Amino acid sequence: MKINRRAFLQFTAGAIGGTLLSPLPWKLADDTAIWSQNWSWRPKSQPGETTWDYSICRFCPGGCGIKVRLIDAKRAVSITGNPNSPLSMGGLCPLGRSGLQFQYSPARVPAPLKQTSRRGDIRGLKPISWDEAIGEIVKTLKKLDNESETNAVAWITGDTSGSMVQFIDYFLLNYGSPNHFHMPSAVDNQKLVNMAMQGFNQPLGFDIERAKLILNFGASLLEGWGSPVRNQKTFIKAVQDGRTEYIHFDWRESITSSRATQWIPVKPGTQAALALGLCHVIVKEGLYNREFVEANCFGFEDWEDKEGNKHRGFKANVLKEYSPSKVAGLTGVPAEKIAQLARKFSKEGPSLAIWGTGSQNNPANFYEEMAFISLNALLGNINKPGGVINQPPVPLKPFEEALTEGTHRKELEELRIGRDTLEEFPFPGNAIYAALEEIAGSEHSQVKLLFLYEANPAYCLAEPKAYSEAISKIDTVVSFSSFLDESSINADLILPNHTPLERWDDFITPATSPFAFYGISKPVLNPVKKTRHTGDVLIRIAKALGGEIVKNFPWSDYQAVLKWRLEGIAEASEGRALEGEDVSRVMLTHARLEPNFKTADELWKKLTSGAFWVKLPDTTSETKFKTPSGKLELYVQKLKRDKFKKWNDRLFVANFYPLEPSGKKDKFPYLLIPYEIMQLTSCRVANPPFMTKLLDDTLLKRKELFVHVNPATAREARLSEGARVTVETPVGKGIVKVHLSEQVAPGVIAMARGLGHSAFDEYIKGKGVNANKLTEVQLDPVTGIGTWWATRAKLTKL
Amino acid sequence: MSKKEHEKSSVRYGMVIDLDKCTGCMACAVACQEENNISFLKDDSIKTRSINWMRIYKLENGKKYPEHRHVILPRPCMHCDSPHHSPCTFVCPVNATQRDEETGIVNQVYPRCIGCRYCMAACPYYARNFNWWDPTWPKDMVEMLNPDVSTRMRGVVEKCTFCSHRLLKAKDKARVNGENPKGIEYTPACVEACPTGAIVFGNLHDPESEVAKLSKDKRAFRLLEKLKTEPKVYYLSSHEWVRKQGDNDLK
Repeated sequence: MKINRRAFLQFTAGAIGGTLLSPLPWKLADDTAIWSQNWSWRPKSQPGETTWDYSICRFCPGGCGIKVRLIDAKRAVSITGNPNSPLSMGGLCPLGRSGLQFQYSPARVPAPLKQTSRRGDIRGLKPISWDEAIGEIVKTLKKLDNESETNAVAWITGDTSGSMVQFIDYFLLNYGSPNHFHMPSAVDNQKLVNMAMQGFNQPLGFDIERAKLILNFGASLLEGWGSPVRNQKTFIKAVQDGRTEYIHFDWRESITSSRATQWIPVKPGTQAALALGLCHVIVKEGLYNREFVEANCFGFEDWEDKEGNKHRGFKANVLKEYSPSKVAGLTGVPAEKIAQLARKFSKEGPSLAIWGTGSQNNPANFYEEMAFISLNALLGNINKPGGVINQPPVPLKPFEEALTEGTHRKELEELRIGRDTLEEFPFPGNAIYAALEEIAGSEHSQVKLLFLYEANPAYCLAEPKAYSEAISKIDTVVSFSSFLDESSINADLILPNHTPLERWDDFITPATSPFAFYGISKPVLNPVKKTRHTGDVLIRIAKALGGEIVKNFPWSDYQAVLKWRLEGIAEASEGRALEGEDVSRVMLTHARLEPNFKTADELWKKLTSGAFWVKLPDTTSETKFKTPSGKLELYVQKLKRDKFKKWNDRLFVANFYPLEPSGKKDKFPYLLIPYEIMQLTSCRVANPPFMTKLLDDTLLKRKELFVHVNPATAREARLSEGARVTVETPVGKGIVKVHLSEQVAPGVIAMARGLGHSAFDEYIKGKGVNANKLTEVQLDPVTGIGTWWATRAKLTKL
Repeated sequence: MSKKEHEKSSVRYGMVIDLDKCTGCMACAVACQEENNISFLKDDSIKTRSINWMRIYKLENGKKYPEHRHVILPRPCMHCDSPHHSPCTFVCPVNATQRDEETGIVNQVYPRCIGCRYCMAACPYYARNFNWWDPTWPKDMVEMLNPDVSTRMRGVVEKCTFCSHRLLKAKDKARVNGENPKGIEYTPACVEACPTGAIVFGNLHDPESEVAKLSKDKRAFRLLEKLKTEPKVYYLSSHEWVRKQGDNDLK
């Protein structure tokens, strides 16, 4: 056969046709597709058996119950809400849901690390063994003890929601240091005002579930105030059922404003004046609860003291100073509206006034909170259904009971750092700023060893330079953080704690909860890094220190400490472990709760398998106020008179005394006010990738943060959408972009808190500006607590 | 036309999102990412590159401070029920995306997808996302991948599936218990996550179901109804300015 051109082409065409008709090319194409879709480097999810376990979320002070989905009992793949929780009722916020991204974060501390180079050099942090790390601390503690310098040890705690904070206190008490500070919290000031007015040193609870009308003086109910998921649940249920009317006073059209039945804009920071304006109308028109005020309030009328001096009371002050027309000028709310609100508030019951900001770490000023408590008191709204509630105590065993007889309790209070500064104040509170200032200002710091527990002051403190300046004077900083946060990187030694999902911990009544709450957060995973429970480490250190202290630490580990404390509740035989009950009904009706446990063991078993201990407040009997007069004091007698440079009666009753931000108005024409949103955490951990993905591109684009400015203000400053500007305040500056937003009041620069991290992982590091660095802190003239709300600022176009 | 088409199945899974109840916390979107192993980038701020099945929009009433109001609108895939085809399934050249006429769920078969992105161009809701890169997770985070959902690869399109893997599980369970798996109730991750119960899910063709009742509420509207795509996701709002924006293009 001769192969000519024609035959060749015929053969080729036939071969192509034949192959195409056969399954071969299709099979090959399919195989190639499947093969190329299964590169070995592409992560795959691994199958396994699903189980669920219970714990409590610890990423904010809200205390939501969680349910964790585990695969083969060794890795966690999702977190959802636990319906047994009377706080979160099965819900969970985006931060809680992102909890696993912290568990498996690339920013976790893998093992104890020691800084071998200068502070802040991340490459200088070298792993050491736990024995070495603990040995080093014991050595330093012993040395300071031998030199009688036990008060050279200081501690900053960030998580104050459980027993750990008291355990650290107990450790320091045994060692001999009074210098335990905690990070600023929204309740720092509230506790003091409550102490002054009612005699209870604890945060207030709010029975929002049972109130019919809620006047909200700035509390961002849906953006982080109190226990956020509880707020979401009750807010929506109440509004939907038409059961409760929410009237919100704020300078920003936030989600809380937008969702409220009515949003009334007020000038920034003037909510307290508005509350006093309402008081004026209520008093003037005789709308207050006469019976309650006469029987239970002190200082409403003018009064005479033992020496026969006459004092002006609350009534005369509020009538003289806060007429609706004057308050209208201060707040921007029309006078008729103020009168109308006051009448509405005193008519419909139960009505409740709540207040605050979105931030969990911003204490208010003393007189501000006095105004709101006074407003509630006028209606007799104290410890009543739908009112302001004094949280019942959780009868846990106090640590003092573990002190063995014969222990020499040192007189420590006098050795406290910052004491001299705070002594100057009439009613001193959280001393962290005073202490940091004193350390930074001293030539030879009294503090030589500083511990950090679940705290990230280098980032979270407003004006964080107060911290960095202080630690430059401190020899050794030891961090117990699980993450390489800003403060750990600048520490000398890191002794990583287990993460919340790997450790034993407990949760005691959060702020704003009207009932007593106790829950155990239990490890649902085995530790994946070389970490140790800080509680266990403290027990080991105490035992290694030797001497008297050993007897006072009889526990084998921290779990034993929790079990021991729980005996207190079992002995008191109060409250009930809620399991499988309709919790929202319980909260709404306050049906009587009988104990469902006899022994501590029984209760322990319930609390570690998804139940929560709850005790409802007593809202039927008379409250016994622990004040000098035995009544709720509208005129506070506990303030030390001699500490005021010049005093008059106005300083002892509620008044509108805002802290004026520093800086001249012509140089800094605007107010910079930080705000919070649910998708951006400003707590001690950095925003997880799940949530950063959800940030709007009018908030963060590439690496730049947008501040929100009213278009009218922007026009005035000749700034257009997207303009790059320097925002400068008397304490710092940063480069940001401008977004024009009608949500913001004119004259305000609204800046989201939670960006501008210089540590953590590559998903968040170096993005935006840390609003804390631009925020000015002022010491409250009554309490000495570092507070902030607005800072004067200017914008310069780049 | 559409009526005839639908009589084939008594099951049409659909969703109602009550914007009056939504507090904009975005727990739904986080739950969705966690459940469906959605990958993230070092910079997720460029929204045309960032993958998100439940995208969150902000609707504004266009007024000045203090009359300004806004609502948050979460937007999953609409699982369009238009006759014969959804916009995306109509254009897919390789049958990588199809509507299951048993359930009404529009699926996405990743191994079939050739990455031509016709479907993305066809979808009026921007509900589809393209994998421009292979997904990566920090080493330890691979541990938290959900075993029920596969990870995707570079060059394919992905979108909300109404958590159809949960439907498959629910069906298996029903079969084991000797029940009829057709139209079985199940809950997608976003619905389960919503703290305020703003998202309701179920069978739109079951007149007794909550979702069917709510979809007929006088507050109900759908997005871009004028296009006749027949979305199976309904929204509820008591504000007229919100309902009106349903027929605008989302920005």
